[in-house]
Amino acid sequence: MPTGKRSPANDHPTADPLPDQSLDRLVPAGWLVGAALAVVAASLLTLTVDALQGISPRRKDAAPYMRAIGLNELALVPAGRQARRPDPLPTPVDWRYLPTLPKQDPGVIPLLDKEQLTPPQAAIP
Amino acid sequence: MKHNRTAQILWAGRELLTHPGATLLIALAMGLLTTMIATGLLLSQALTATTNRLLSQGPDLVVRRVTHDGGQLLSVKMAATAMAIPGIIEARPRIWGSVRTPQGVVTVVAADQKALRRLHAPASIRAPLPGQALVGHGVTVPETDSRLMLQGATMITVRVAQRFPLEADLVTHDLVMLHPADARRLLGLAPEDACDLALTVFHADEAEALRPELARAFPWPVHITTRQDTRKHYATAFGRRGGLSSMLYFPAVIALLLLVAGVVRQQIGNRARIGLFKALGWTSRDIVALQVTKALLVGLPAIAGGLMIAYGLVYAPAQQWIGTLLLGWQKTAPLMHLDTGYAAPIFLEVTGIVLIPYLVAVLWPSLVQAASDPQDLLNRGD
Repeated sequence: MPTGKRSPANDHPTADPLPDQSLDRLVPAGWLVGAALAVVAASLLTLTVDALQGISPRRKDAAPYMRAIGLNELALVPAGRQARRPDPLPTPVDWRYLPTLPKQDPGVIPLLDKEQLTPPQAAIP
Repeated sequence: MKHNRTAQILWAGRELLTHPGATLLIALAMGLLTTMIATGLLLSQALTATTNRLLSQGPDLVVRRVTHDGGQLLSVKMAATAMAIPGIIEARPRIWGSVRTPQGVVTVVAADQKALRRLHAPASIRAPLPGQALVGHGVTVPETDSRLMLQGATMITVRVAQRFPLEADLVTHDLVMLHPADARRLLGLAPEDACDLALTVFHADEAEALRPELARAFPWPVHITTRQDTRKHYATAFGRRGGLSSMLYFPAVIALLLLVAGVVRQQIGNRARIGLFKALGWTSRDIVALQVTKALLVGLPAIAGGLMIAYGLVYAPAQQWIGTLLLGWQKTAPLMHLDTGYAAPIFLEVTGIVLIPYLVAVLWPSLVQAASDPQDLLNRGD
């Protein structure tokens, strides 16, 4: 604890000790800045690669098979579902994979429109 | 006080490291927010682009016979009727449908020998012989034998002779291609019957104009689907799912507001420190520059990292989460080889959405503090 008194031991000139560089935390700050720049550079690189891929033609692609098969639907949705078929009409081929299923998807609105939701009426004598 | 630019950036990094936990939390929050928003936008863009490109290789028009009961079979000879119309260069009678297998439902299509011979693809594909099947990677067969049981109008068993290549999975994942005779037997079609006609026109733009002529050419009512109709169908389907995924944006907007509020509060909490800097001779410009540099050091890498994660989620090769989570696939899902080349506008858009409110939240308190009296800041900060 400093007392304010002069000590004879401190009278002789000594070289100033080097400041402790670990205390200014500039080295970790440099690492932080470097990491931030690296992430931003990687993102820009991703963007560049994406743009180049967009320009160059795709070598392996599903397009030739689409032409050879001749269907106008994609395998984005599982087969047998309404969303798979671009044509809303029922087909001559029975699409149901179970004979117990209804012939057409009734949808939500017709179900809600049924009489179950209408309030019960009083019986007429 | 005149500062070296590099020293100022390092000093901003040092300032951030005085509260590493808060810095990390803000970066993580911004990164996750960016990933959430960018994934939805990139996915929607990529699906639309890929669908449009693939559908452009399919038929221009599909003609089906209709009655009051719905669709009816038509004769394969009707292809000649369609070909008589000027502008139509190809008419393919199609035999196809959905049938059941022990593992699930598949789409069955009869092989078109001529079209397969014209196929210019890296993998060699041979048309299936009677009793054989060419299947996609989503069609599973028992390991002991490669026999596939198909239940349509009748039940048939075929041997899986070949599989479509993985790069065609978006078209062929649950597809079974059969010899025409097998397909007819399975779907219950007579030898002269076809499900519909797929037409190719000389000028794709004229397909819509051929509708009335086609309707007049056939002796019964027909339903005609153009490629544009098919695109609309898929756009609607994606729109419904996109509407559901946009529910995620509500928590994202709330998260963004909370983030902005947190940053404003943090900035106001730094009053004493800013007062100290001003007392030490920092100019208002130095202080604003320091705060903006700090914000960019956190915000830019967080947003860049979030964008890269979103890009990886959507475009990573062989990813299947889109099919499983969004498109209703269960045991298997097609490999999504989606079209790239559309990321730049979405990257810019998302960066603006997230970075601008964040910078405003940093800049406004900084400007107020830079214009304040240092003594006042020190007193209020204490």
